This record gives sequence, structure tokens and C-alpha cells, in this order.
Amino acid sequence: MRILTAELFKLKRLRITWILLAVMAVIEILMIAGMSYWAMTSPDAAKIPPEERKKIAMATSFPASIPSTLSFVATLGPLFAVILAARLGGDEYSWGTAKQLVSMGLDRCTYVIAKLAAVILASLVLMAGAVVAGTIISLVVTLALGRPLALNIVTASFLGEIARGAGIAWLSLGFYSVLTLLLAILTRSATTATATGILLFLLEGNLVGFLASKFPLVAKIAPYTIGQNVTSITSLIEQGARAQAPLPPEVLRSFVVLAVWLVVFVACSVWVFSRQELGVD
Amino acid sequence: MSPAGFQNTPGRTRSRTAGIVAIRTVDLTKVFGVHKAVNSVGLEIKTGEVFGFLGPNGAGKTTTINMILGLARPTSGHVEILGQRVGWTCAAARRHVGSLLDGVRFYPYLSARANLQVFAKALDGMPDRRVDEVLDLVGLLERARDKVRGYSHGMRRRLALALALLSDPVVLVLDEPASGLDPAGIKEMRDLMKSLASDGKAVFLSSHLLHEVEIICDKVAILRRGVVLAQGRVDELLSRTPAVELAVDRPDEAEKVLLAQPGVSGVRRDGERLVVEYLAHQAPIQPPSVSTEEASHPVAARMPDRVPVPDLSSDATAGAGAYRVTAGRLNAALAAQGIPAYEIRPHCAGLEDVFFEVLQEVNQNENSDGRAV
Repeated sequence: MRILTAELFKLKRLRITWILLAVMAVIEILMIAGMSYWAMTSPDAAKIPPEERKKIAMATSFPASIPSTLSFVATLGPLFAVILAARLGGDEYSWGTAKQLVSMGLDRCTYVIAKLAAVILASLVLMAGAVVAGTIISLVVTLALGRPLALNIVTASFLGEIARGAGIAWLSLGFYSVLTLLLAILTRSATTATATGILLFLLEGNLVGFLASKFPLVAKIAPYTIGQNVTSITSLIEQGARAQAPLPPEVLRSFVVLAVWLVVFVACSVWVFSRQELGVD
Repeated sequence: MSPAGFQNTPGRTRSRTAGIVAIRTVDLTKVFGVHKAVNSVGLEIKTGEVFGFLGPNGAGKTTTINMILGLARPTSGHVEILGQRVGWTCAAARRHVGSLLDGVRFYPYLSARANLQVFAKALDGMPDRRVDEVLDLVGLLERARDKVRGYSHGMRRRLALALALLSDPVVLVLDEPASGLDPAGIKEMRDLMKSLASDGKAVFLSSHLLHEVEIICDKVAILRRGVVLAQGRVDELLSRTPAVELAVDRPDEAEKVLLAQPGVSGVRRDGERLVVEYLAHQAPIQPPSVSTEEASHPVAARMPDRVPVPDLSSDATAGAGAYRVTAGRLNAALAAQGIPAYEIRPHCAGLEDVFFEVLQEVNQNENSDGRAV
């Protein structure tokens, strides 16, 4: 699809892509370097129980740091994905480029599908950037502190764990990207879509949890909402090897629920944009 | 800016498309809530012609353009492009249409060239050579690498025109193309429009620059409150109300005399002169009875004794004949009252005159209807 090439061309040239990527990488670097310093060399290090120090050393050393990095991406990454998706979708309205493309005969459905593909790929780029940055800094920290490279843990099982973690992290970012693109289409504004997307990401899960504890009706629908299911699947990354066993039914249900939501978001995006009047800004 | 202005590339379309109906709107209507923004608009734009779409602010021009371009859904009626009836979201037929829209700011973080490349990629790809061709055409090639965020409004307008021409479309729909351009740019735009039409493209433009429209366009339509008030060839519209311009010493008295003449539809002041509108296709104004004394008046003496019967075989001849007859009769009537005109000439109405005249007529009709109610 040529339109996807055009979307990726824009994504590559958009400054916010690189800024978000850089911020994610910097946060990852600061976390790994900071935790290593705090647990190993800071004046407070002696106060940390040895077992805890061992865990931190493991989590910040290469290659065992990779699942931790993925866990961070899956947990905090959606914030960045929301901002990028809102810009990719909403700015086309304020710049008038969406209506210009449509007026020149670009099929509306193709346009939305290309946008969806672009934001999903953008979330992959964000995830990859953070993971690469985290991996490099953990390698540097490992070598700088004179720790041995525990390459013996790189087994098929460990690689499977990383692959699964990457898939879950990408799903988490991609999910919120698609949701934000729908918000951008509905609101025709990058700013509104960003604000709404961030609020949903930060509050929806907690709000549903709180209301579910008060109202039985909300408790019934809570398993079908977004935040709780995203939390459920991202916790698999933290569980690591312990989650190797057949997935429990509630986790499987979370995947199904999120898949259904994803289909609904995609369908709504296509449906709304196909019927949207673009003449009025 | 290109020293030679906007230079159109040799047309590839002329031979195969000249004279074809490029855009037709049939009873196109758009209602927003209770407000009818566009009301049964029927337009026909052929290839090889420049069609001007005029109207005051809020007349419904942009809404009509949006419906043609598939950006707004018609409440009723439909649009045909190159003979094909197209649904409002039908994209394929609109590939033949290039558009210059109001309010398009482009991707500000990209250069002009990169902007066009994005559109070229999105619209099935066009070679980079074509991107540079159109940038050169609008005089932006030297600034092609600059980010669009640094462009002036006029430069963005030029870029918008380059984009409209990118796919070498058969039909061009341009919303206020000259907006923000400097005088040289306006002239270049005008020349380009003519050149594109002569290459066999259909150019449909909305504009507030009535003088420009008069020069560029072959046909115009005047829209007000969503209704087409007048439509036709520019030369026909300009001659819709023929008029004689008279310079007299006592205009107040002369006005009364002229208004009393049969066939005179109106008299108005234009500075020191009187502009007398007459009904061209009515029977010639009857000659007043001229006394011997009056006939000896120096001006009246120059009046022909016999009024030649106008030749109505063609509009032009009929128009010229009617003017000669009317001018002679009016001056004879004035001379009979002792206020002969010292200068008489045909009144050359501009499109601006026609535009305001049409709007005024409608306003008057509406007011009289209102009173009747």
C-alpha cells in the first residue's frame, strides 16, 4: 500500500516521534542506571536486604534486564503511544491535509486502515527504541560494575519469554494507539484526543475498580472493560518464567476481551471516517 | 517566483477532452439543521472552459465545492464527474479532479517538495520529476527544500496550486485561488487558468475578485443564500441589462424626463452622469413629436429623421441597433425639454455591476414579497 509508505514517511519526519522515542529511552536509561547505583554503590545500598539487592542486580544486568525493560514499556509506554497516535491522526484535521487527500480521490477506508497500520507500527518503534536503549545501558552497567555476563540464561525458554513479553508490550501500546486514533477521528483534534487518551489510560482501570467495589452492576461489567484486562496481560511479563504454565482462563479472557475491543475500535474508526464530513474545520 | 510566471506544461488532455461535461450538479442541496445552505444548485462545467462561481460570504460556494469534492454529503441531488454519477464518498472518479481548498496548511514540518511527495505517494505514486515540474510551474522550485511552516500565505497558496496540478487532472476545482497572492501572482494565476483551459481542462473557481473573474472566466454563476441567481456566459451576463450613459447639465430634470420614456427600465446616477437602463428586446422607444423649433436645436438636429429598424438576426447586431435607436430617442426627448446631452455613450457594465444588480433585484423582490405578505 503506497498510502502506508506515505504515512511512514510522515512518521519518520515528524519531530515528536523522535522526541518521544528519546524520552522513553532516557527514562529507561535513568531507571536502570539509577537502580544500579542505588542498590550497589549508594550510601543507602547497605540498608537494602541482600536478597533484594540480588534481585535488583539481576533486573539491571544484561541480559536478564530485557524482560524488566519490556515490563516498563508495557506499563508506561501507552502514554507515549497515545501522544504519537493523537498527533498522527488529529493533526491531519487541523492542517487540512485529510480533506485535501480525500478531495483528490483517496479512498477513505484505505486512508484509515493506513493510519491504523502506521500508529501500530509507530508503537512498535517506540517499544523497540526503549528496549534497545534499556538493553544497551544494562550492558554498560553490567560491564562497568564488573558483573559477569550471565549468558547462560539465554535459553529457548528465555527467548520465548522475551518474545511473549514483546508481544504483550506491543499489544498494550498498539491497543491504546488504536483507541487514540479513534478519539482523534471522533474529536478531529490532536489535543483533545491526547487528553482523552491519557485520562482513559490513567483513570479508566482504577475508576472501574473503585465503582465495581461499590456497585454490583459495575462489578459485573468490569471484566469486560479495558484497563483491568490490560493490567492482567501485562502482569504476565512480570511473572516471567512463572507464567510458562498454561495461561489461566481469566488471562485468556483478557486477551479475548481486548481483541474484541480492538476490532470495535478499528471498525468504528473506519465507519466514522467513511461518513465524516470534512469540509467544516 | 518564476520570472515567466506560472507556465503550464503542454496539455496532454485537450484533444481527448475538450467540450466534455466535466462537472454537473443536479439539484444539489445541502441542509444544516433548518438552514438550507445550498438549494437545488444545477451547474454544468465543460472541459476547455473556466467557470467562475460568485457569491457573497455565506452564499454556499464552499459548501457546493465540498459536495463536488466529496467532502460533504448532499442532502439531496447529485454530482456527475466526467459523465459519471458519483456518490459522495466515491473516490475513483475524483482522481480526475485537482483541488485547491481553503484552509489547507500542509504538513508544516515538511518541505514543499516533501509535502508534494507525500501526496504523490498517497495517490498511487507519481515520479519525483512531476513534483519538481509543478513546483517550477508555480515558482517554488528554488524554495522547494524550505519547511512549509516558514512559508507566507501566498507561498502556501502557490503550493496548493502545485498540489492541485500534481496529478495532471482533467478537472480543477479552485476555492479562492488568488487569495493572498500579490498582484504579479494574481496575473500569473490568471494566465495559468487560461492556459489550462486552452489545454482542455475544466477550471471551476470560486472567487471574490470580480474583475479577475470577468477577465478569466468564460461562464459564471452567481449564488446567494444557496440559490443560483444567474448563470451563463460572461458576455451574455454583461449585456443582460443594456444601458446608455448620458452627460447632461441638469441631471435632476433630465432624470424625470428619461424615466417617463417608454422602454426605460431605470435611471441611476453614476457620478455626474445618468445611466439609463432600457429593455433591449422591446419595441423601439417611440419617437417623441418634435417641433420645428426643437428640431432646430443643434443636438436634436443631429438625430436621424428616420429610425433604422434594428436587425435582430443576431444578438450583437440587435444590441447595437437597439442602442443606436434608444440613444437617439432619449436625446431627442431631452432636447425637446431643452436639456440635451452633451455626451452619449453605451454604458459598459462590468461583472461587478451585474453582480450587485442581480443581488439588488433579488433583495427588492424579496422586500416587495414581504410587503405583499
